[in-house]
Amino acid sequence: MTELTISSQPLRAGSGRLPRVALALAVFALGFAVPALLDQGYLLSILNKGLLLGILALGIAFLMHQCGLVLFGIASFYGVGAYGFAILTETGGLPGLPAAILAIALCGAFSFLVGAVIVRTRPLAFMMITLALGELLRHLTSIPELRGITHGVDGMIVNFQGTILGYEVFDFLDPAVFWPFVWTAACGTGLMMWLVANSMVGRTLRAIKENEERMRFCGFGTYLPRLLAFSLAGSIAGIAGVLQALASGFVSPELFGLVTSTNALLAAITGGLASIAGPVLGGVAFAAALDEFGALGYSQLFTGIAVVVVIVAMPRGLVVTLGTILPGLLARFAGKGRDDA
Amino acid sequence: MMLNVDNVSVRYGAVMALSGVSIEVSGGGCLHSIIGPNGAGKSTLMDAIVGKRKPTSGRILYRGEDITRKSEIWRRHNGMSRSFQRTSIFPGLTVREQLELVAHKLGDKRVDDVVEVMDLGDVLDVPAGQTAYGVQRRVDVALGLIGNPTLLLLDEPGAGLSAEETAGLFDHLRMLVRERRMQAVVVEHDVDAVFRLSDVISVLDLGKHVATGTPKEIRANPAVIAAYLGSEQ
Repeated sequence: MTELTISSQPLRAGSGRLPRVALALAVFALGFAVPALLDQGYLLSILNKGLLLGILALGIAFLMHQCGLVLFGIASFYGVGAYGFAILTETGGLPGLPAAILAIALCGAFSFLVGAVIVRTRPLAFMMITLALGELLRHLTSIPELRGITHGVDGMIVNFQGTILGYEVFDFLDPAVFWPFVWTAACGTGLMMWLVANSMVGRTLRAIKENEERMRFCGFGTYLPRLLAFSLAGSIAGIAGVLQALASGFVSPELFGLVTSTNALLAAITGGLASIAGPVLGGVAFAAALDEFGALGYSQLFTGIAVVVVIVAMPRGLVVTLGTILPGLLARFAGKGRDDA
Repeated sequence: MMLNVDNVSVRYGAVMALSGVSIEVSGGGCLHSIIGPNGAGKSTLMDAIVGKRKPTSGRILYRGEDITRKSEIWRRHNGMSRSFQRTSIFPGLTVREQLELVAHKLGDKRVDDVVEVMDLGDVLDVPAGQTAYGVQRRVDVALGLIGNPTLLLLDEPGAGLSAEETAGLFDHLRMLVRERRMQAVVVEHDVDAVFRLSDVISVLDLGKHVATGTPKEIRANPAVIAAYLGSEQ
């Protein structure tokens, strides 16, 4: 029987013979060369979307792997980040960078407040409440009474004064300009997740997930660590939201929608929950699949089939499965090459 | 007095699991066992002492302080520790990871002592869930020993173990209690081990306290014989 496993091992950054730090730095540095390697802006824009989805998926995977909590409604925090940035720049008149930082901080505070209420609830209730919250916010941004701030169902054009690291607002619509930002954000959030997962806090979270009662009898409060983990996941979604606002130059109530949440959840599961690379690559694969199948006119149908196939055939996710299979295949291929020679 | 269970009653709906039980546990280097037939209320009493179950009435005094409404977290940080009837560990964490985690929380730098005493040196880097059941029981007890508790409550530590393993575990406990001058309260079904190693025994039956005394006194107590040990004892 196929079973999705949520193990209690620390999140893994990946494996290989090179020292991990050197490998990670090399991958990070090479990432900046991607726009030069891809001469098609179209492919780069798919990658951008994939990484944005991957950052969202990272937040979901972190919470599932470390706490056993399924954040079904991550779009709530994604939307708050995006709308927060748009409103702070337009209504608040803040320059781009301070607005982005403040929007992420506000999203963190919002996650903290929401988490304070819901992290104690049972898993099903937790899932449903986060889902309902997204729908609630979607309606809230659409209601006529708030149109002066949110522009209702029409959404908001993102516009800010000045520059962010030398780029004006319209520059971010160019995928090559946007890429370094989303790449840095994906790597930065991945690093942050890895550091937390491998710290005593991460170990505490996994132990609480495994046996909350025993943790209390070992002298641990179990509420605050889960609340902090939830806030972290929400803040990460806020980062993705701000980046989404920059990349598209537009925010709308659909950002809070169910599709955003389910896509991120499926990307996390597809890529695999137990590694940092899994959700990010899951996001890229999912975005590529949506685009490819969308061109055929059956985006949701084929993407759904592909997700089912991946989950059934690779219950631990793409990254772990490929990481297990590929070395053997490569060794076999190399051996065959030597025999032929 | 280390622990004073003062007229404690616990009700589950219509069932009175404990009815006005009073037991005193003196402090330091003593192994106090609680025995009784199934349904006597032993585990309920343990749950009430450690704060898992709030008494319907009565008080729990620990070193003279009323702790009836204190949380289990407070109790652990104040020297009261427990192990569970069903092994309660962290199966996905290695033995080392879980012992270090709890030691870090409780500021205990003597984890090596616990590892040595509970004979866990060979399995430190194995996920606890992948070890033999007897090892898991020892991990469970080891988690309770971290932080150098003054009162250790063990709910059927020999459950699921062979007679030989139970005897070994009790020998360990006996040694710990003596060496560390801690007080252990043990609920155990293995009557032979209890009578061989306990300093004091309390007997419960149908939620009521029947008797407390030395093993010799308990063996000779007519009420205990009638309720639990039977005439062949």
